[in-house]
Amino acid sequence: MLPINSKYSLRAISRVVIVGIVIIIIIVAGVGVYFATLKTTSTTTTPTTTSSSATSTTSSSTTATTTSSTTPSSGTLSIDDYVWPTGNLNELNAPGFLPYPDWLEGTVYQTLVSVNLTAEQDLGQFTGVFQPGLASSWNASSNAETYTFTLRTGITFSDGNDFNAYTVWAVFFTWYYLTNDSATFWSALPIFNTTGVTFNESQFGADVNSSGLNSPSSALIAIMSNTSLPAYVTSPTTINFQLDTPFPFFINSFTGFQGMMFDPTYMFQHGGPGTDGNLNPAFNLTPLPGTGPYMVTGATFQSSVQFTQYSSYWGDSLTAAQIAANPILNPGSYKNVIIYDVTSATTNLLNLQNGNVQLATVTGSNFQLVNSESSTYGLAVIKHPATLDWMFMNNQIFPTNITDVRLAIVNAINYTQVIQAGAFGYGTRMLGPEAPYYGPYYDPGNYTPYQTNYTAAAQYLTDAGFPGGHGIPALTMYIDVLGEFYESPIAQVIAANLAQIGITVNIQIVTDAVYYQYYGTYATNLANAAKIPPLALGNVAGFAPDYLAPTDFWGAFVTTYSSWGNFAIFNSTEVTNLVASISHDGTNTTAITDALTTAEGIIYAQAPDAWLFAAELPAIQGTYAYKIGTINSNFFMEPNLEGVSDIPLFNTVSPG
Amino acid sequence: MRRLGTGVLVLFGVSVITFVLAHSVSSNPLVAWFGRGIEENPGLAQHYFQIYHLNDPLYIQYFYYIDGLLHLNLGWAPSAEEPLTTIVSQTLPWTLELIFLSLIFTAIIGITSGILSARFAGRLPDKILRGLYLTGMASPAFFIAIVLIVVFSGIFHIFPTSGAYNVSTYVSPPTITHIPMLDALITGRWSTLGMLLWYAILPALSISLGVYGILTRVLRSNMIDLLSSNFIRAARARAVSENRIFLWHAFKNSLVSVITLLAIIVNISLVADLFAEEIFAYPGMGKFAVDSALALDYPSILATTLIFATIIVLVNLGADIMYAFVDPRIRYG
Repeated sequence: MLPINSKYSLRAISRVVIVGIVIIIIIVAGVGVYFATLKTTSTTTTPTTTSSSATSTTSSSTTATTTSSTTPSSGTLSIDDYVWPTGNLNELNAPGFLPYPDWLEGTVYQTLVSVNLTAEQDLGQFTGVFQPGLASSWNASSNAETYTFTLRTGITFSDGNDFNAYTVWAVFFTWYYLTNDSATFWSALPIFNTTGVTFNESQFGADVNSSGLNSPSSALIAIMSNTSLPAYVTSPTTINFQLDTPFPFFINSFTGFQGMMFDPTYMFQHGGPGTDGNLNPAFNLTPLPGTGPYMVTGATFQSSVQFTQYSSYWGDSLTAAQIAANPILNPGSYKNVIIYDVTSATTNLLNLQNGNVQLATVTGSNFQLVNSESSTYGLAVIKHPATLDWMFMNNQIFPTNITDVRLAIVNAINYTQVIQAGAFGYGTRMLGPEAPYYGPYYDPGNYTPYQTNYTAAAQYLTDAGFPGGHGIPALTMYIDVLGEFYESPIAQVIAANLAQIGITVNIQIVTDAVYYQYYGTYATNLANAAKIPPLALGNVAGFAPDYLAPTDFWGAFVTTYSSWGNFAIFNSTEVTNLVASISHDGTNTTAITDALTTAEGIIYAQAPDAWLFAAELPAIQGTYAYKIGTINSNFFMEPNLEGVSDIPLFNTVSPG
Repeated sequence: MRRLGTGVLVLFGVSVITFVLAHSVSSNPLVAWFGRGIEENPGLAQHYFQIYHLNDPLYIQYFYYIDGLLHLNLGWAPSAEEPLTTIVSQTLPWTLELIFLSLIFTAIIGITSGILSARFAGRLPDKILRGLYLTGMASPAFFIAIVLIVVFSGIFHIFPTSGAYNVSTYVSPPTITHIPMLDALITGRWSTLGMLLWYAILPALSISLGVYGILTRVLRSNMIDLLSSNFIRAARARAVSENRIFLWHAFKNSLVSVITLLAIIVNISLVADLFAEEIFAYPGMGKFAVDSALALDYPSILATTLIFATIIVLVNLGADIMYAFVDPRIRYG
């Protein structure tokens, strides 16, 4: 009889167990080989064929657009983005300045007029001159109160419905309806007289469902031709906008969120727009048709969006020269485009390295890695930055209520170090409140941004009665935890800089709740001034424009009628009046520039904020990267129309 | 019934804690959700203040929330502009199939490893296996996921890095259960099933590798104990073969203890699922939960937390019932 002990008995069964394990390993290996074979035949996302006549060079931004209308498109362009759009793909979110990022902007939805992207790239700034988009021409009355757009003919939405003046009218009043008949429904601008104006959405929708907008019923035409309304149609290709006040930047506002044209007939046929704050979710993943070169053919929530070229895109008939003049109308070089929502930075980088995608977002240390391999990777860098970062100084509490103290601070900051620490060197010095992008409206007084000058800074402190910083308490600086990744290094640089002149900074990284708890309109900020810290570093993602007009940033950041953004609580009646006047100076651009020059002088002398830089990377510490040679290097980024969503215009990307 | 009542109490506690914590994240949730735009759109702000009763005290807001839950209304996801019930119906099936697949992997790896560890107890193979599962248990879930991606996607190019299917070639199976893998299986869409499995292997494995060690340890310990117990001695005395003793008597009886681990394994797997889905861009509820947290979207945080808590409570309840079933000595009051 065998001795009974576990060690012996365990050894006795070894062969069976080992044979079993080997069988399992063989099965697993076999299955692995099978799927590996399957993968190589079915999961390739890199385009296998490329457009034969698409050309690309790196010498000029305009040559990227030589893809002609007769070029047969093929292949798939795959892009990794790191965030799913807030508001999904529903363009009805436009009054709330969403969706963000708007992957459909320019590619699915187009505007009546277009920004001159080529000029932007060449000049690094907004030219103030627009290109024909869906409108072939437009004009403004001499008093800048009446604007008339003449639309192109032969344009259809991707569902086949006609684009015409009636559709523009319906889109315009959909915005009015979705903001509960707000007088500031158009990009938050108080420019229309909406007294007594109502839009019977249900009746209008029923009529549209009955007759459509290709050839609307006489009842619909009567409504849309009513000249007492802020907008009225005079022919199928002509629409007028009647403002209540002169506003020379009205054309500019059409390049913003609410300028994107969608098919209202489709919207009414699929349940209508919904209501304010409760939009029809049917369009979240099945977006409203647009007139652009691509249409959405599939979307999975927080996963991917598929685009396919629209076979009857009106821009297919444009010549290469016309597209070169207005690249945003480019029909595109890829038949299919897939944008993946991949949050993980590692996964994004691997997808780029492996060739799974042609464009991928790289951020933080991955950005630095890719940036260091300039012979392998190309980066999308914004040549016309409009996203600003700065430090608020509470102008209402001691000691930052003293102008000399603020001037000491702005003269003590080493801006080069700040840009290096916060944006890996990808930042443009600027002098707010306007962004460098705004061309003639940026720095109209031609002031030089503050330079690091410790001697001058120390003198300002002495003049204020605080020689060597004696008498100044430690200054608390707030950072929103959501922006900590790039603002914390900036804060440390500033703290070190200010220590040079005897000012101690107490950096506090606070929750979003704490950071924003006392901010609101100027009046709100003023009421809460005692609770707001003396220093606070910018917005989480910087500030970016909602539409292309100087009224946007000037009004928001330095006036007492600011609805959001005057966190410095800067109060200058003269500046407020000057900024307010630029909205009502008709077409007198000289008067506008003069007003802004005077206002800028006041701001420069009083330094309400410490303007740091304009970000050249869409994610401040990251951007879209590509392997050199896989795509053209001179594709265009989305124009600065919609906040900070600086994403590639994928219809301008072509195989490398 | 008492267990069921306890489960309800747990869910109530989870809802209270999550509600309070979520609301403390942002004093002005509208700014957090919509940014500056909401300030410029008073109508929209007013609407959200009304539907979330943001002007009311917190306990009143909680009352409305519970009232909604009792009517199967999870609320509205501001970051996604969708009813949460819709989002849950879109994302939960992906999570369920991922968790199920990870449990299969956990069982295969954990049991195999446990048997081998018991077989070679105290010897080199046992020490290697112990090192492996301790490494897995000690590694954060996101670390395992990244290592898997780097090795199997980045270096060997065997598995895809992200997603749940190939967007270009995927054809959805007919909807029956709303769980894609199950639907593909039921309808015989083998290529679709293969693709779904192929994309789910790495995320499921990343979940399993962090949790299988629990199973291995318990199985190893129990089998070693059982092999020196009296009924095994009796079996040997009856000249039962050692193979039969090991696999039939020792392993089978050890499985009872494995059932008690089911709840723990599912709990840990659900936590790891959050990281796996986020890193592998898997479109399940875990990814939605993380993205919602990053967006400070607390209605979504609340909903996902409650659903995960409900799954955990149900799995615990199921494990208790199963345990009582397989071991008649166990009786719950």
